[in-house]
Amino acid sequence: MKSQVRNLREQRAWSQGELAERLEVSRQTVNAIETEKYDPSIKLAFKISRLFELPIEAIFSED
Amino acid sequence: MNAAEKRYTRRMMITMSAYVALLFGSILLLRGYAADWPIVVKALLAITPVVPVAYFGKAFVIYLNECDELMRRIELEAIGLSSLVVGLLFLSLGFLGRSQIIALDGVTVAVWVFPLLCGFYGITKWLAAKRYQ
Repeated sequence: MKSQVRNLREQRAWSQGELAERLEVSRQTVNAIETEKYDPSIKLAFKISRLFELPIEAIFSED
Repeated sequence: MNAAEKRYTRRMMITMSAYVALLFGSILLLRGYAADWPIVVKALLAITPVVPVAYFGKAFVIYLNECDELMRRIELEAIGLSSLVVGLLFLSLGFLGRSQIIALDGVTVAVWVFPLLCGFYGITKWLAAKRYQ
């Protein structure tokens, strides 16, 4: 799955650690989502969507 | 290390220290003072070290519920893979023993199942974690 998480995080000048803290996950999880090695659960995707104030489809898309 | 990992590490250290203490304690007693004790007491004494291992299992389950979704996936992949490896290893040993190609001592085999699961879990966790780096 394609992810815009890295771009959105960098636009806000957050570190991976800061984003991980806001999402209440580990930094490794943020990194795996950004590098598209891990697709988040629906619950986490909604959390990311709320945090960036964007619809899920604007953040994640199919390959 | 996050809060869940810290709690898990602390619980693991406590339970594993208790395991080592009880293991050596029970061995010393069984080889010395307990020689004439009733068989039931000796049996209970022999399996005493299993108690902290059970608490370690509980601590691990708590950790699985506390960690985030990717960590949980890594842990479960590692447990699944190590169970498969150890299962295949002992199945192979069993077939080799049944074919009388190697001589197997059942007690030794039984004692090594859990430590090997833990050992292979360490390796498979490293492999699983590497996939998401």
